[in-house]
Amino acid sequence: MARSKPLKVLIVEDEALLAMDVESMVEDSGHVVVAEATSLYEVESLDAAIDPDLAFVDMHLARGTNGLDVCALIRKRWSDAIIIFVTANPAKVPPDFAGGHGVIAKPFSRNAFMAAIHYLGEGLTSPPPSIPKPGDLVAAHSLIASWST
Amino acid sequence: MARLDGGGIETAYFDYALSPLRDEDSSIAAVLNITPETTGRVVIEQRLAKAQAALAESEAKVRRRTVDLEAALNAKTLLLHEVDHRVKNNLTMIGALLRLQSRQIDDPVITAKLDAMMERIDALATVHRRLYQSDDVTKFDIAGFAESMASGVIGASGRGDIKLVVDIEPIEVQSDYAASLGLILNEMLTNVIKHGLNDGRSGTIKLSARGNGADYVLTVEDDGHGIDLDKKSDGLGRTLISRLSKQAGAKVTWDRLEPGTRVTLTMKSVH
Repeated sequence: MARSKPLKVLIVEDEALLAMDVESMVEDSGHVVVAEATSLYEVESLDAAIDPDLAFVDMHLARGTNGLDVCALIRKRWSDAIIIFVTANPAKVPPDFAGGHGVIAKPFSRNAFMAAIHYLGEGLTSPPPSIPKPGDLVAAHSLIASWST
Repeated sequence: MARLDGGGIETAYFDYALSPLRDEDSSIAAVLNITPETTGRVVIEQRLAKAQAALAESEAKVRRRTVDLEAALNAKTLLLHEVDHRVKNNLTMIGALLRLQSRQIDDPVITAKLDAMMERIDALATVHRRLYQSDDVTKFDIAGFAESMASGVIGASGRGDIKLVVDIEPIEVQSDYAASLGLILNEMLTNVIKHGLNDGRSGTIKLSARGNGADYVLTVEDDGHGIDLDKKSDGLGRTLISRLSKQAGAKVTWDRLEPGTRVTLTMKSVH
C-alpha cells in the first residue's frame, strides 16, 4: 500500500500489547521497525547504527522513565528522527512538543494511526503528503511547514 | 456605676476633663470640670469590637473549611483523572487485542467482520477520548468527530487520489448521545468511503454539517460508482443504525446520486 520508501521506525512503549500493535501497524504500512525499547535506559543502550527516521514514544515508560527524556535523548543520538508522542495524557506534552514533532492521543483508532503513518511516511520521503493530515495527529507547525515548500 | 431611678445599677461611662481657669496673674481661680456621659459611644464601640472578633473567627473558620474543601476537590479530581486514564488505557488495550487478532485470520469474510467490529470499538474509544479532552464533558461535537474520522478512514487507505472536502460547523450534542451517534457515524462514514470508492478510481468525499434552524444535518457523499443501497452495510451495521438512531432521536437516509451516494444524518437541535 505504501508508495513511499520504507521508513526505519523506533518504538518506545512499555506496554507489550501496545508495542506489538504499533509494530504490526508500522509493518502493515510497509515500513520497518528497527528497534523497540520500554525505558530511557533501553534507548540509551540501542546501537547508534539503527538510525531511525521516525520514533513513536509513549510518555509513561518503564523503570520510572518518561517520554520527554527519551525525546531529548533521541534528538541527541539521532538528530534527524521525527518524534511522535503516543500517549493517553497528551496534556503532559508541552506546546512546543519538547523538541518532538507531534502527538497521537490514546486510545487511537487503527484508521487514525495508519493514516498518521502514511501521512508521516509521505512527508518524510516525498513531501508534501498527498493525503490530508489526519485529524487525530497533532503535528508541529514547523514540521508541516518544512514539507510544504 | 449609676443608680437608676427605678432602682438597680448599670454601668455608665464618662469623660472627665479638668481645666484650670486662671486670673490675670496666672494663679488658678477655679477648675472647670466637664464630664459628659459617653456610655452610648462606649457601648457601641464594645459591640463593634465583639462583632469584629466574631467576624475574624468566622473568617478563620471559612479559611479552614476552604482549605479542607480544596483538598477534597483535589483528591476527587485526581481520582477522576486516574479513572479516565484507566478507561483510556483499557480501551487502547481492547483495540490492540482486536487489531492483533484481526491480522491473524486468513478467512477474508471473518476478517471483514472482525475489522468492522474493531472499527466500532475504535469509534467508541475515540468518542471517549474526545469527550474527556474537551473543556466541557457534557457536550460532544459530532461534526468535528466526523471530520476526524473521515480523514482517518481516507488516510488509512494510503490513497492520495481521494480528496476530502469538508464544510462543517460544530454540532454540539449532549454527551448522553455521543456514543450512539459516534457508532452511527462510523457506519455511515466507513461504508460510504470504503465501499463508495473501492474500485480504485479517484474521487471526492464531501462532508458537510449544518445547524439548520430546528434541525442538525450532517451529510457524507462520494462521487464513486454508488454503493448497492440494499447492501450498504452488513446486517449488524443496519441494525445498529436503525436502533441507535431511534435512541438518539436521529434519522439516517441514503440517496443515490449520479454518480455516487449520499448519506444524511438529521436530528432535532434540542440535543
